Amino acid sequence: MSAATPPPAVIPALTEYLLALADDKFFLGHLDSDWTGLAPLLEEDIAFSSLSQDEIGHASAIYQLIATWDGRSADRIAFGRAPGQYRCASITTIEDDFDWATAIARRWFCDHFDALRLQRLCGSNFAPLKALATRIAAEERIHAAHSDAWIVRLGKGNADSRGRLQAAVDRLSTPAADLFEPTPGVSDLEAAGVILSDPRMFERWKESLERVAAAGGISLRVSPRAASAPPAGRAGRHQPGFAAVHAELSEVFQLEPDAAW
Amino acid sequence: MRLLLQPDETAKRRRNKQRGRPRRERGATMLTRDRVMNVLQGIDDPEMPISIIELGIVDDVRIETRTDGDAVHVRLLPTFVGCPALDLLREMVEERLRASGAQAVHVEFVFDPPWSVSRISQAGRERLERFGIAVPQRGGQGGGASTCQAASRPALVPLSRSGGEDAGALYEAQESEPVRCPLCGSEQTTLHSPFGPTRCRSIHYCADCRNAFERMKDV
Repeated sequence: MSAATPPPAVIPALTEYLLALADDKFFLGHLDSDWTGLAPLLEEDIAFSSLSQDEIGHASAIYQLIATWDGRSADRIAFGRAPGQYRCASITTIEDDFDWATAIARRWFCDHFDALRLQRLCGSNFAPLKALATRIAAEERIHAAHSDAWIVRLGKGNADSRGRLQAAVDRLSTPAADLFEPTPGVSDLEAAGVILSDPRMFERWKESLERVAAAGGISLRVSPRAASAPPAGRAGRHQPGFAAVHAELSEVFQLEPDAAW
Repeated sequence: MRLLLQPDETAKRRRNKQRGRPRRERGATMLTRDRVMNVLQGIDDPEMPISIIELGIVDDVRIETRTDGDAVHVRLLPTFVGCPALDLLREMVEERLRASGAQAVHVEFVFDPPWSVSRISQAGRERLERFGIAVPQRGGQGGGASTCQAASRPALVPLSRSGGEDAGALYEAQESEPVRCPLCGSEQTTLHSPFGPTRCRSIHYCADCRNAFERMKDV
């Protein structure tokens, strides 16, 4: 039987790592919910609503896990932080302006990243995290299959769909690599067995994306984020678009932060 | 889209009915584990006509005898992490156990062990099939397993938009077992969408009886 809280020495690093995971899901889920009622097919209306519900549900469960040692409530962690305290990568805050190819490509990069990130957590020696990650990973498999199917469908569609998809993939491939910006203390978490190490994670991500891109007949150029790159989303340095998304998703909470729901 | 709307309406009706139920005097009954399990057996999932016991989401029940009456601790396993019915479920369990004599009820949602379709009982499977929801026979490809390998991802092959009776279908799913239509028994079925009316169900189409039906996701 493992402890209900992680070893105190790794708590700051684990909190940062899990905030990055939860914030990615929270922002991606919020942006995807824009498609409720507006997706190009009824099935995709339901799909994107479900994907949003999943992502925000995953984020909520992770915030609740953090809250078990953090002292703040899950709601306060989710909605009550200053912009510089959010850890989401830039791709999860880029709005799609109702371009379907952008929405699909954004999901595709994130879904493949999450599949690998969750594998590292499924082997955690911190039992509550291992259990939650295992359950989330089962749901994420459906997400990745969904975005893969759409990449192939748009890629094999006509010149218009292929062109729009290619443009979206090209535009998002650089911010997508920001998903790999590390949070502080990852090596300590690996040494403690709280997360597994995956030195080939970028190559594995690239290979899994390339297989799908090839099936859809589109080209893909992704490069690893340079170690010398300036701090970005994981350090709270967000793109200009972040502020509007953050203001929107925390709008109701900020009306009365101490209200009981 | 009958199936899309019906479960929520059923839940609303059930909820209203429960609100009107008179509460028993506190401490009138000594609670036993059997009695608590019987009460839980009588509670249906808010979104499907299946007891929460048969659905396999009750992980553990503990009765704490106190001087001011019994406190019941119930550990529940969400089917999906983001299931929006969890608050309603908690409310239903609390109300029914209090009405059965519990002084206090503590409902906790946990993910260990992870829920999977393999936890649905045989009686539950039959009940869901009668309602028109197919259940994977083997089940638990993802949720119950201790691994989370990307290799076990279901393959969804996009179908061409042109031609075919079900031209709206997005996928030709490579399922781990034939998907049997719960309405006519045919296995000539296709996955219409992995996202259905609730988080735990997908939508399928039967080429023989030409009905859409739902299936518990194979997690």
